[in-house]
Amino acid sequence: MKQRWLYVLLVLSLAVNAGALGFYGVSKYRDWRRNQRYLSKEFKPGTTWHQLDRLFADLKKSRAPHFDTLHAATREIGLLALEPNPDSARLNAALDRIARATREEHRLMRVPNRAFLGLHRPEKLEFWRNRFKVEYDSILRVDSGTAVQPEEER
Amino acid sequence: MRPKWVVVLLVVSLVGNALELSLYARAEWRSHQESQKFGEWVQSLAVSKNPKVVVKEFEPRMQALEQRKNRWETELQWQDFQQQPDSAIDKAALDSVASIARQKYELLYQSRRALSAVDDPKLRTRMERRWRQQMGIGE
Repeated sequence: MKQRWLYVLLVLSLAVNAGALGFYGVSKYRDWRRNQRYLSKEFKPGTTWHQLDRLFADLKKSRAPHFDTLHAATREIGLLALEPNPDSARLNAALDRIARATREEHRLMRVPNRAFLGLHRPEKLEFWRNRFKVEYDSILRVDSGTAVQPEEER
Repeated sequence: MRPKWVVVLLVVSLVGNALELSLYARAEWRSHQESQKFGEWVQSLAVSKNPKVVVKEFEPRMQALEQRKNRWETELQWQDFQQQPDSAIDKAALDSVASIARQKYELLYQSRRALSAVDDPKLRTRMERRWRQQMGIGE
């Protein structure tokens, strides 16, 4: 009798093990299939996840110093605003650092952005371009002065 | 099968069950922690990326600057879609984004300097806290 319960417990335990392993394997396979489908639908043949990850990792790495500058300058402005007699030279220097870091941050984004778009299939790129054009046009409509001039000249 | 081997197999299988359970619990706990961390990161990013003026009178000017920033950032993104991006527009957009960022932070600074003129002490305290949070200054 005792031995029979031992067998029942063993069968149950093995069934749970098999079920857990099977579930894990199937879900992993499904994830992989879904990712591959997305990759082949959106990007040119031969594009890998590693390539995309690398692109964003490089972007993150190159932007990091500018992020740090931005945070430090923001903090300095925050503290200066709390002082009773803030130093205007320090304020101007912090504001200049913010302007420079923002410019660099946006400039650095251009290369990986273009590289990312360059990895797309031509028909997909056209699709995203057309979708973005709607947003672009609507922003230009809101902006009455559509002529492209730098901000300082306004 | 001899009972001795049944017991060994059962023990191994039960250890496997326990391992699966612990791995599952760890994965759940990690995903919970990660989603919590992600939520906090999004919140702090939203606050630091969209700093708000702490005095209402400055809002129209800030909104106008935000609109200009949005317009130039869209211009930059639009250039990314072009086969031959226009370097003059690129430069103009980058200069404008930088200039707008400077103006925005100057306005933020001015709004904080004007906070002492706000009569409502509750509002002042709330805005003071927001200021510290968005500028990355601890309590």
